Amino acid sequence: MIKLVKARAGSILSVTFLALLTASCTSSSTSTAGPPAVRRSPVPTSSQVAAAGPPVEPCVFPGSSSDFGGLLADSSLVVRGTIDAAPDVRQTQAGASSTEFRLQNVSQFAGQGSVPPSSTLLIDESGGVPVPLLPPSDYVLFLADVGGTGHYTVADGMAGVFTVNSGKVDGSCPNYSDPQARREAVGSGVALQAFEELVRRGTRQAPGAKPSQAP
Amino acid sequence: MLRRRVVTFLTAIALAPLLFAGPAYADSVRQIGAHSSDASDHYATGARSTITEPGPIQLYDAAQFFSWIGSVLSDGSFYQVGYGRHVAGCASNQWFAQGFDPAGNRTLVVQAQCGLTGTHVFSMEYRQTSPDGTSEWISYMDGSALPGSSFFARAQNIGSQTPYAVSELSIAGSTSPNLSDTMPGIRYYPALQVKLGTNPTYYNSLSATVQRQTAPCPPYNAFADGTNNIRAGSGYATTCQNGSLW
Repeated sequence: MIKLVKARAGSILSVTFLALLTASCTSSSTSTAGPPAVRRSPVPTSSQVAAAGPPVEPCVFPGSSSDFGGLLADSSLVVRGTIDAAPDVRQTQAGASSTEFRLQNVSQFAGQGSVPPSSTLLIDESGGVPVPLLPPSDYVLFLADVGGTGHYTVADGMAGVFTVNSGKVDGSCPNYSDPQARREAVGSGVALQAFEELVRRGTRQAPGAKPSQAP
Repeated sequence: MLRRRVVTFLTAIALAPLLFAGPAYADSVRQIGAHSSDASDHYATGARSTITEPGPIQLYDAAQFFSWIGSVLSDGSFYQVGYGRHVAGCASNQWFAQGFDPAGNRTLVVQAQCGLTGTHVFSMEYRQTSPDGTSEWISYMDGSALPGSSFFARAQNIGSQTPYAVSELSIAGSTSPNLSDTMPGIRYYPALQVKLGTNPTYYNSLSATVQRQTAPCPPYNAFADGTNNIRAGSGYATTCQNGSLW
């Protein structure tokens, strides 16, 4: 029975394919002299509009202390902590929204910056839909403060996010063609202690942390 | 006549995989252009270039064509502006601006002025920061703000990133643009420029590399025509290797 269905599906596909080819042959054979015909496609509908977006750069886990130069320059604080709840999305002004994450059990990591007295940090990201940015997990985060408001933002987006799983550190990159599917950084799975040493060395090499984002 | 039909039939069989399916790539885009490699462009608060679109491009599928400038911002979000062609509701050129949040979600897309032609100066600039830390970026064409192009981020500059000037064919979904899609003529990006801080003066980017995202190698290329001047289009030697433009 299965074979019969397969055979029937195969013959339907063959007929369809032959019909398309026949149509192609017919139109070709009736063409006349003149400029080459350009096969124009219909204008895409809104659901077909491509996203464009930035070129996809290689997604590689930082392999040496010097790889942290740009990230540390954009950060004022590096911490380890936990996010255990979904973020709050709130409106900040007309046409703008912000997503607020609460980082719990915060501790300073590799000596970059100074952790505020509170054990909870508020991390604000612009936009109402950055769901994949910080799902509940244990993290090492490179943060930039927001004008002395006590709020922080992740430095360099996904580049400043490292998840910690069973003592191993993973990195990932934004995926502009499919935001829900992160691109895991090549070389992920570095031992937490080794990662901390890399960041500490990077901090010594580039001691100038990013100043406050106050205008 | 019979022989002609047989030849056409065999040709159709050979081309069928390209015409009806097309090679599939994960990224669904073919991009060619320049990526600034000038470290002094870091922390820029604006990027600018003059884009000339000669057209017409030839499309054999539902691909869209974009000529744009843009940059990843310091918070990891991304903002771009330029020419878009064959996008929804318009079969010719229009301007477009798009923004993506740090996780890669598109949070802004705006396009207008169907039928736009010629040479225009496109720029994207940091504008202001509200008390809660949300920063507004906005795009300009020939010095006029593009309506609806405001993009909100947590970035007052581009951080340790550098800007791009890119010509791109892209298509929604997982099917790659048809290999026969071409961009005849030359896209001009005379001088990729950046500005720093609140200083309104733009200066030329001092170095750039070929930026391409293609597989397989497409029938078009990017090259430099004098310092800072980028050209992109079909009919030029395609090496598919990255290298310095200047």
